[in-house]
Amino acid sequence: MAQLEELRSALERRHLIRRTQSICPECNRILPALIFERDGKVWMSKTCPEHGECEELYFGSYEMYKKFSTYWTDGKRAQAPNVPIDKCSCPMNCGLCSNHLSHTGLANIIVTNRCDLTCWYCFFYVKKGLEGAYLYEPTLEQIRSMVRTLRAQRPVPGNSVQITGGEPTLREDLVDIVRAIREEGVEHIQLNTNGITLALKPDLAIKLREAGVSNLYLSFDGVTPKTNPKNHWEVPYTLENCRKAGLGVVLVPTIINSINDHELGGIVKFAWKNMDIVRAISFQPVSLTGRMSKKEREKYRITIPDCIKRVEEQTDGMITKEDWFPVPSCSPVTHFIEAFTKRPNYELSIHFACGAGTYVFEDEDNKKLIPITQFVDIKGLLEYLDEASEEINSGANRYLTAVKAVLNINKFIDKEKQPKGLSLSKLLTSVLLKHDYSSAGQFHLRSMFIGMMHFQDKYNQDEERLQRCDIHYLTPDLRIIPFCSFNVIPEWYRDRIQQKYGIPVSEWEAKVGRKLEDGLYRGTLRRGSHHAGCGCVVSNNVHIEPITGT
Amino acid sequence: MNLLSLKLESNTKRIVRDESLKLKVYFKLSGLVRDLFNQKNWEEAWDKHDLTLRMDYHLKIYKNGLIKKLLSDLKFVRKAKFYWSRNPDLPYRIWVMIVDEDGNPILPKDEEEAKSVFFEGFKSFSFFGKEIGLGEHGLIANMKAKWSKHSFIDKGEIEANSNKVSIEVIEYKDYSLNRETILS
Repeated sequence: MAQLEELRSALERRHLIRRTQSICPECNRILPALIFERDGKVWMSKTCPEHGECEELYFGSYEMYKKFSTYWTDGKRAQAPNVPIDKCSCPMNCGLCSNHLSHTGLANIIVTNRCDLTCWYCFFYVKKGLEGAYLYEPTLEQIRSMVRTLRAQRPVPGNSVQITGGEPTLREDLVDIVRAIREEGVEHIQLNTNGITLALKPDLAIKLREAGVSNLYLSFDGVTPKTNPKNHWEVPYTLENCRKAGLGVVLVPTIINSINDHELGGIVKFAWKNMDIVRAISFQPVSLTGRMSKKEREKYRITIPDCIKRVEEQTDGMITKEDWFPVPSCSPVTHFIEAFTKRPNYELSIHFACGAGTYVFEDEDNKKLIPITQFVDIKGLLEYLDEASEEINSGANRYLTAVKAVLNINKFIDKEKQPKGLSLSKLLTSVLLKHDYSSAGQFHLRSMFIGMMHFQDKYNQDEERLQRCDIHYLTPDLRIIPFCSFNVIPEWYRDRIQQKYGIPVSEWEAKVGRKLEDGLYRGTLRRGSHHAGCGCVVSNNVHIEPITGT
Repeated sequence: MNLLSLKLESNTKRIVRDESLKLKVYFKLSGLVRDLFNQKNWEEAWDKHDLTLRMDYHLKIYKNGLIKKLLSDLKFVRKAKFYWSRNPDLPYRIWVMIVDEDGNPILPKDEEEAKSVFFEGFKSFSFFGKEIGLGEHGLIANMKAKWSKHSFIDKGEIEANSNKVSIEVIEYKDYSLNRETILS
């Protein structure tokens, strides 16, 4: 009876927000789904006729959901689709299909699925002995073809590639791969890595930088060995080698509730101490892959608003929840540039629930970290740019309007509160008028971006989000597959592609004359106790002041 | 043709200088821009990547007299965002989300609700008698609404005045007493 009462009460407290489509986590059947508010949080519910109801936390704060949803902007679509279909059938037939709404923002190329680590929560490395374990390493020619497909994308040719794995640094021809991608015309190349090889080989960072890598996308899950056993001891060496090479770093913590969600503030402080080389942090609330009981999901599930709340708590209010904006909020900047230049521009048109971010700057005088929202009226500036774009689109002289816009930027900046040594209006003017890759780069050199990117799983999959995904995978069959299809339904995408274009592990071992496990990292840099610079709370490190993680 | 209708209402006709007068301005925009704001045109606009219709409203309240005095000046924006909906119950692909001036996202259930949320509303104001000044006054609201060029509508602007509301502001509550009587 008590259970029934509880169920009835939970149903009565539901407030419907919208309807969408999702999939059954058991059988992948496409299902209608409800997005609703209950007790200040946003939930998803869907019912499979065969496997029953699945209710899942979708977004940890309804207030933030409302604020974020007002920035909803659909993208320019993929105008050169590889899978032409009339009727949208997400999440089937991805590649991109004619109904996908965002051009590629970042294209992943898996260069190997070998890894030198075996992290328990990672879904992306080849495990020996598993049925269907295939070792996948596309050839340089295949990689070139994939990049050509990306560059052929319209209306905006892809210009940003992430080399990923497995652990990409296990490929001995990695530098050649980077060169090849650059030769195909890609300006931004980031390397997704655990950093261990870069820590062990000091000259690798220089070689990669020279070949064209823009920055590392470095796994970094916490500031203690307990939360970050993967590369806690190695990261200081990696950072030092990147520092020597002038290679920027993005820290990428996967956040798991009850595991490392108490260290977000510590990670921000660690990044801040290394701000000369750390350009950004990209927090990734965990995607719960594989079958998981509801109890386990409740234990591990964390969403973007939950992470934002923890950042506020753990930085003593230095970065508050008001400082965050959803990724598509930058669309007015794109739309203004498009109105001014009269041609399509690179746009981050993902769903508002997929990602959020803020910029922080260091005040040179008082050595404080200041979020951009504390000295720029971001909302007002975005509104103003929106208005200016409309003026141009309604026939106003675009040059005059652009000049007026640039002159008016100062109105939105509080120069008293602006960090000393920073001229944000100059940086913004450069971004608006030059609207090129290097202007955006200059902006990032002066700031640190803190972002959140929540990849989906079968429990919270929202086709409205998937249809707008702009983080894609390039595959040897020359498709471009959204991240949340590729990894959420691996049996349709990732595993199938790796099987088709890979070889069995045993065959690979025979070919190269060594065993897969020979490539595992044996902890060369972690022998003995904590050392100076290991980034640990108990060390008196050199590069970083001790971090308390609180 | 577009038509902007405006209605001004007050809670009383006479107030003391330290009391507050409550006014409500009801507005409704009808005509071409409202008629063209329909699902067919949302879809057409969306197909051309014309994704947001923005309505700028500018509402002023004046005190009439020899010199027209501005009592209140309010600007607000409503946005209609066209997007591809995955709502399986919706018979259309493209639908609209309206973001009102308070930043609330509203997903209307049908076209009529969308029109009503986007083109209609009311605003409340409150003034102390002393802000208006002693004596008899006529209050009037003026509203301008403007929109930009979009695939289904040219840019446009419309302005309208409300009915006049007569208000008397007096010094004391007891209307039978005049100033001289009290002072004596």
